[in-house]
Amino acid sequence: MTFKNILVPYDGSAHSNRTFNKALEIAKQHNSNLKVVACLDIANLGGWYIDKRTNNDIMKKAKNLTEKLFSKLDNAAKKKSIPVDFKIIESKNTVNALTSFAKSKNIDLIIIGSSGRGGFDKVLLGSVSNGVMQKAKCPVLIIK
Amino acid sequence: MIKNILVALDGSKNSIRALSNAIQFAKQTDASITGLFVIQSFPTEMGLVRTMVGKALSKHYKRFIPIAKTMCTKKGVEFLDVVENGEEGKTIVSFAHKHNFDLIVIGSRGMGTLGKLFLGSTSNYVVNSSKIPVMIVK
Repeated sequence: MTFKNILVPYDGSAHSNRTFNKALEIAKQHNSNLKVVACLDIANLGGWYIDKRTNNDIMKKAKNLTEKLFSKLDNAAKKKSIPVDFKIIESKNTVNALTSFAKSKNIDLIIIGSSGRGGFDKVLLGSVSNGVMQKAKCPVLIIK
Repeated sequence: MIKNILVALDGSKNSIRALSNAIQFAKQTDASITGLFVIQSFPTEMGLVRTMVGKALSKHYKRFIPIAKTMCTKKGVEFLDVVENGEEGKTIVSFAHKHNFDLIVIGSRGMGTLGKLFLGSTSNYVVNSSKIPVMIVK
């Protein structure tokens, strides 16, 4: 077994930037493909009580923002000449979306930051990383 | 760069899988592996006393250490085995911090018996309290 495909969940936080850099390092050593995935949560956008269209607006803005973040990451990856795929997933449950994505794409290793945007403290483990750790079928590397 | 890898071993199937994953990792980066076996024991006035589980496991370790060694030497990876007494989770984390390891590799479930349905108690403790990256092997 080799680490051919590596999944890196990304949410734009400082933690996930650090995780991405670490993943680049590891991918270079193992000659593996990186898949960077951003999960957009459609369950609790919070715009529903104003207008239904508000949610669509929020979604569009979120997508634009993530694409901008992705282009930054892409530059960093191109400098090190590592193949990286980017993907945006919309889902109601981030953990389930990530684990099912890992299953369908035959991911060998998930590299995830210990906490991201959620979570109240850096001391504790984030809810998403904890969920992924429990549910994933492949090895999970947690970057502190 | 990952140069020193700590693998927490307890002789279970999961820990063997963890070791083979660690070897895979170490081969690419020419890293050395340290296998840490922890014998469960608790502090008393007379010093550390091994529990019943610890005594049973320590016998098990004697059989398992050569297996782990041959697994590593077959793939040409440096292997060092360390046996420590203490509480599993705390010992693993403090050992890793003290000796400047770059990565801890641990199986998701080991020899723990109680209702550790999803993640083992030791691996959970290690993930939550270590300051260095942790790899959980399923």
